[in-house]
Amino acid sequence: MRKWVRFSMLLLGMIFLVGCAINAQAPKDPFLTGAYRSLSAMDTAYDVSWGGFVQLYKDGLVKEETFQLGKKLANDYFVKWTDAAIYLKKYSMGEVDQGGYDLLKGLADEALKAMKDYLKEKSGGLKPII
Amino acid sequence: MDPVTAAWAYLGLSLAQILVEKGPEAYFRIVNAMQTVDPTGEDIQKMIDMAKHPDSYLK
Repeated sequence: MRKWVRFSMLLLGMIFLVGCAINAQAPKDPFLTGAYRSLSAMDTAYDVSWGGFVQLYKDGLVKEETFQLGKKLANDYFVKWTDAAIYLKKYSMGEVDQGGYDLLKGLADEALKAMKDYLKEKSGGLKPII
Repeated sequence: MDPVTAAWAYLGLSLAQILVEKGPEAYFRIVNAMQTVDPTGEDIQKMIDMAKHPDSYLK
């Protein structure tokens, strides 16, 4: 059974890669496209990590104090990710230049890593996502 | 396996994992984002609106 699950996952991954190659289109603004994709990937990583941790908490497998610290880290990440996304939106509308984005993205990256590391440690090792 | 191929393979497998664990909505959301080229302000606002606040996972 496990073999079939692994084979299915590999197959889906390959389908995705082929799909990406077929849909490959050169962006007019590689910075904007790359930044958008990166923020989307971060949001998915956060969604899977935090969603999984909340489920463990709901199942009574995480102590209240541990959960509250995790929530603080998740909030910190969420605020920083939102700041970076809002900046990118302003950039896409020509209101700001690229300059400030790297700093905001860097802060969000650090906050996401801190949150994921903490959740992994406290949950006994969540599977790595992206 | 060279690093670029390895990175893409890892991303592909991670996406498959997302599909298994979070369902098709999350999967297609990230796939669509990865295929988006030159997003507009509206696309970015949509991404912001779809991001869930940590508290909302408790509901």
